[in-house]
Amino acid sequence: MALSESVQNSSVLGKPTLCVITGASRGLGRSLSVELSGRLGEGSRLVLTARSLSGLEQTQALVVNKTTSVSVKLVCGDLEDSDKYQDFFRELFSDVTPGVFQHALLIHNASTLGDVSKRVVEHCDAEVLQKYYTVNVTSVITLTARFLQVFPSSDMTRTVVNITSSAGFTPIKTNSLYCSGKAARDIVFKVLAEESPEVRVLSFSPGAMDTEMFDYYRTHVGDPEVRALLCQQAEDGKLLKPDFSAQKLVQILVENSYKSGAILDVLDRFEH
Amino acid sequence: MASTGLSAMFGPATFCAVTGGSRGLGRSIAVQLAGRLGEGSRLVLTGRSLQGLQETKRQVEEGCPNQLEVKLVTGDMEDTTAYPALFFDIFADTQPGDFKNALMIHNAGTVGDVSKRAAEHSDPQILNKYYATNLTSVIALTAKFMEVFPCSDVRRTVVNISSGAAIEPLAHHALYCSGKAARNMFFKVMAEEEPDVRVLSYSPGPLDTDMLQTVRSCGDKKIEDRFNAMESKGLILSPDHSAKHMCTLLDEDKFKSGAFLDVFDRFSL
Repeated sequence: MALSESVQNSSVLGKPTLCVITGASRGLGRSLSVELSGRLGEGSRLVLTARSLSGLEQTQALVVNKTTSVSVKLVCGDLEDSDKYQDFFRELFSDVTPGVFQHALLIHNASTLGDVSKRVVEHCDAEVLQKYYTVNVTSVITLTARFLQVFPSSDMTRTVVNITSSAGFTPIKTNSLYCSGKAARDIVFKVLAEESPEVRVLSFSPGAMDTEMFDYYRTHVGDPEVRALLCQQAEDGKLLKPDFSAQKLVQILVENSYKSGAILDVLDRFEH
Repeated sequence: MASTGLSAMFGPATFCAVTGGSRGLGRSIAVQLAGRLGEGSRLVLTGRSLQGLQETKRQVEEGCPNQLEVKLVTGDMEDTTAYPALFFDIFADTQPGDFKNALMIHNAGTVGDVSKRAAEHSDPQILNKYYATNLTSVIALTAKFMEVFPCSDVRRTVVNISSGAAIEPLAHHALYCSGKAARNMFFKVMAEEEPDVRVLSYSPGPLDTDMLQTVRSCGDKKIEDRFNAMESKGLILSPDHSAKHMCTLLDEDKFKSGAFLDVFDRFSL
């Protein structure tokens, strides 16, 4: 849905924006990249990161096809490798001339489910657990810290988005890692919102979407009841398109009226 | 003052492990439980400080009339590579058939660097260590506990010492809040998956311990004022009081598995 140019330019997204999206190689990350590219003001830069360079390149192609007013930078990296964060994060924010961007937007979209075949009592490998929380919690906190170091000034708008899930407050069998990781992230962002009132902080739950992540989930989840539910969701056509969820998030960002730290749902089923 | 007599729940032959047993709430829990555990029970205490553990053991033996076997295991939950050896020691010579009850109390915890706001947590190694101590260790140790006691022939209970911080965002406490929130959710999933296991997340309230001293000196005026106000209203509890309340909850055994209960009954989720 196209906004009139004046409305678009008056929104926070209409300003020259540096926008970083993690997990941009497919799924919701790709949809967000494409949707945002059509909304960001002239002179904006999209920095897309993920593990898969070919996936990122495909996302870039879609973006370039949509608009030429936004530049795209691709950074390949693995959030599991915390020893490399310094270099990785430096690359994300390189060539940022002070004053060029009036809005900085960081979208923590990259996420993993962990081994959904395992029940709680089977999670015995500490290294696996550590890697899980590195990717899904530690990376998010440290990247946010770096982002706010690069853009320290409240002269510009800074927005941080946490892509979350109702799994953050709803226990789901064989999803102990995913549920706990989302719960951890959600409260970190609430703390951030409270401590840094000049930063716009939003947690957004995009709902169950027709993506590779959902497909993996449905085919690998250990609990038979959960599996049946997921298969039913897919069969009943209840899965959302990631483009739809992306559009909803972008709409919320454009309106910019959310309470900082809020956890919002794509279908307005809850607000925490 | 320890015992109120043998526990109906944990009287007979209970295996009980308490992490962070070298001081504070862990020590109080050990002493309170010891008075309730009956013949054939074993209490295993872990912590980083052998001296602290020994003092806890001394207090346990002083207050406890029932010849309780107390085992001390020193170790640091920050070091994931040490878990196999540490967990082996905790459960060494444990035959499930020797016990009617098995009780795992995840009490060890740290607040992290409370001088930092969320936006200042830039060192991933510090965060990784934090989650190792406060989250990974708890998950891996629970898995080990359930491996040692796999059957419902033994009445199994797991307690997650939590905090109001699990549900209330507190400035300067991004790490503590997130670790507790993660643990609470984790144990809710456990309760769903293991209906034969009694799972409780317990918020002990603000306690007069070393941990509270750290929190109170975090540099945030609102937090300082808040604890000062609590202190003047007598709301800062002795760890013994909170440990007793926890034991009462376990004894009454009315809680819904996976529930998050508070010493002041401010919430029950």
